Amino acid sequence: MSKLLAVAARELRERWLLFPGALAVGFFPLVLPAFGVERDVMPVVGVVGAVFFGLGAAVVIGSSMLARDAANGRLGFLFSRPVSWPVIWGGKWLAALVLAVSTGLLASIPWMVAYPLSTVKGHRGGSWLRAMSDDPQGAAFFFMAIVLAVGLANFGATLFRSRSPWVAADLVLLLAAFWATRRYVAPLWLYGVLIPWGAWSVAIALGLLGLGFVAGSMAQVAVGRTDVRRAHGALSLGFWAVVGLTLASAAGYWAWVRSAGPADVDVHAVTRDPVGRWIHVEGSARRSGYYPHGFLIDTTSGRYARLPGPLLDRDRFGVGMTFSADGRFAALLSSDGSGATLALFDLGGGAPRLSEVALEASLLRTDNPVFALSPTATSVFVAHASGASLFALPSGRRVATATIPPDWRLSAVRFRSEDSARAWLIPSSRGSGAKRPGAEMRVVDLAADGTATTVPFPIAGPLPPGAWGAAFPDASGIRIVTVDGGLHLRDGGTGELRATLAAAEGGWGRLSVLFLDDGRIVAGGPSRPEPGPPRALLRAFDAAGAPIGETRLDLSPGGLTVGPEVVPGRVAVSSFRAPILPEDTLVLEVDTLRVVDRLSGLRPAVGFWNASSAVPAGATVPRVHFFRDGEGRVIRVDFATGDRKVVAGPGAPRGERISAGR
Amino acid sequence: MSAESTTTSPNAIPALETESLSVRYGSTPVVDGLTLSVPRGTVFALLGRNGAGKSSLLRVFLGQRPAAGGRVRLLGQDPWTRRTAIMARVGVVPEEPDAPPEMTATQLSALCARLNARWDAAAVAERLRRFEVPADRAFGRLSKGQKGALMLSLALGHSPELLLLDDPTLGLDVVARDAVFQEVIGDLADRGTTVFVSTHDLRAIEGIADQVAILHGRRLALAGPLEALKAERGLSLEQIFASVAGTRASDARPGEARS
Repeated sequence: MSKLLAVAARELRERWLLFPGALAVGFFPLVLPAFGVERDVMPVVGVVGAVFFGLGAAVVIGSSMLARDAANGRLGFLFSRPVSWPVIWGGKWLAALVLAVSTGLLASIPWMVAYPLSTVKGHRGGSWLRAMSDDPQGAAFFFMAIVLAVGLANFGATLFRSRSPWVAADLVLLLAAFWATRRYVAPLWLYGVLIPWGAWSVAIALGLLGLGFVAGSMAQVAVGRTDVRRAHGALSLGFWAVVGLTLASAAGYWAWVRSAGPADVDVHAVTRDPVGRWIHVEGSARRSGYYPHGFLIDTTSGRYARLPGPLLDRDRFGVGMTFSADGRFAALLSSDGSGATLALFDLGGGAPRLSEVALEASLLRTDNPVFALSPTATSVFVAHASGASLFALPSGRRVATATIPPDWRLSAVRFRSEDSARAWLIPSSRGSGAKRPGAEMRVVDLAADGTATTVPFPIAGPLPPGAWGAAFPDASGIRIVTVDGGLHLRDGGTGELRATLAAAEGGWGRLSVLFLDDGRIVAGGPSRPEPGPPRALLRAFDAAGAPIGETRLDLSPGGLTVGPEVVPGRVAVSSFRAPILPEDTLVLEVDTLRVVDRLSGLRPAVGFWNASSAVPAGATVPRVHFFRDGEGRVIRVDFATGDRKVVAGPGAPRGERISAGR
Repeated sequence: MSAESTTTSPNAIPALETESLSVRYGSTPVVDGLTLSVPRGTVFALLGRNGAGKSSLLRVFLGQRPAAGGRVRLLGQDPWTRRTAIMARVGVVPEEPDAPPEMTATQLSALCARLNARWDAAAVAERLRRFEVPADRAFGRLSKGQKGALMLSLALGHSPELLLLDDPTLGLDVVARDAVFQEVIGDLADRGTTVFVSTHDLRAIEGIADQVAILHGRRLALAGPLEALKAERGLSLEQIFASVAGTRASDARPGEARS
């Protein structure tokens, strides 16, 4: 111990001028009021000055204690004495830490004496010493910053003075460390994986970096001794070993976080193929913060493919998957700001086969792109903030396009055939047209032969706010129901009014409309204003819009959803209050409007609002449907056999993982 | 076999011993296959031209660098792994004085006293007085000769069994050189301290060295008792060095191997 203190004292003696320097800095806040600076600002200036002086002292001693002495041949003085390397190393580090901390404190004494804490605005009583002792975290952070400053300065000075080939290796490793940090560490913070660790995660990260510097400098002294080049090599190996192990651990942790399977996630959203075999689910796992896990699951076998998560440099704004009507293809849309890419999965084989299609477009970043696949995936419709286009697949060539004017937005899209898509535009809720009676909607037809037509048509009243819930097309886009001051059945191509399903009665709230496979229409929403609490009201119409009947349901009217048609002539009706609240789904016979079944605690598993899949007109109504319970599980219900099974979420069987290969 | 017959007397162990020792800087070989032995109580001079690897060799002897190959023992121990223990018994005077420049001779002696369990501060002070080194002047402000004398004083402060001198008279004037070697001869001969000196000062060493070794071309070119070598060849040390190291005596300054 005596030797260690002797070494440390020698280091401090060499740099004794820093002590009066620190004291002088401490007097600086005392003279500032003479220049008109407010008195209460002084402690802030004092703290900043003290912290910077302490860190500066750390850098000064850190850059000279080993590297300079080795380069100048002065380390030999200690190494030719009976002093072990831990004593040399420890004495120098002790001196560095004592110097940095004590100069920081010295630089605080004058202004702390001149401005007692009790006299500072916003503080009542107490003292600076008490304030410091009451903030151990701040003191620990300051100490850690000093360790990092000493270590970093020593590393930099050694690197500079050795001028060895290790410099190149360090630079390469530094770039690799940046890459690995961005790839494996940043997502842990970005997705909130480390939130349960709280401030400890930052402390651990900084602590490990400091440990790298400390371990490196130990190796520098133990192995490098008086040879600065050899010392640099040892320092690098020691430092990068710790940093490498840390990053490898972070990478391992990140891989574990991402390795969650469908059984580990609380499912947020589900998109299904129209056939009922494949579903795309997205959810979060307890161990992975906000990270959105995405899976493509074969619900008949339980096998699943993990979909790539969003990358930091490539935000996938087109969250959600769309399926072709034949169930053969699924697609994800992504954009990096300079272009758009469609990840197309062929589901025809045993495992999804991925092909990436670069779309001939420079999509601007937008919050609400909408995309849909044609019935057999020979084209894809994509709409974003300022345009809608049809792209041929698999080439990605743009075959038709239409402009979406400012203050207009897309409300719905349907493929009328393999070669043509139809979209309905509504005035944006930010624009003035949405709430103006007598405003208009527009129909956009895009065809593979390059034709693009836009047809405006008048609407009867204000549309509900938002993009959805204003227009409900049938599967082939021939008819459309609009919610414009009433409920209107219109021609899908011209907007011509066919029938008024319901007049404006006030208090409509948000409605949900479903076209049945046989053409009938079912609409649900809050009941008309009447005494008592609002109730859910369901109305049925024939294909021409003539009323069949109506009924009130024992469901919350808010967020009422009609659909899907679970078997021909029977529809599921549910309400949605909050993701965590359990809801019941009612199954009604449309002919009689009687409830024939109640699915307790289940509601239809809904997809992503910006991806669109539709059962083609005339196709067989699938008997398999997917529901979600209050615990984030997805339940597959076969209405033909009555079979139910959990296919995703807690309790789901751990199916075989398959890769979505190219 | 009796206990006596298996126990090696400490004095029987050479003060310094190498066997096929190699020293490298990176991939560059500096010394190759060096085998030598320095008996206790002798003054051993290692000679070689500049760049022959003498200083590198001394760093290996001092445990400041590992050997690239072969074996080295100082006082019977491996200096790389047992450096701390060995340095309690070894004094060192480096080629470049390496004491902290802001410390005075007195402070340096006090520092060394804290680093060495055995330290004779009075003897150091006496030696400094004899060398006329100011006790209260910072090391960085001393003349080169004073620095050398101070380093020698510090190297002898703990009465080492082995003294390693790396060109201790380099850059010193004649008077200072004589003072150093007189000290070496006078002080150490009495104590039986082994002296290993690497030097250019052929004339000065000729009078005091018992044994010499000449490094040339990364290898040990010649080694043996000085007087025997001189008698065997009928040459002076300077002439022997010139014939081995390829330096004509007339090319070197009088009494000094060419740098």
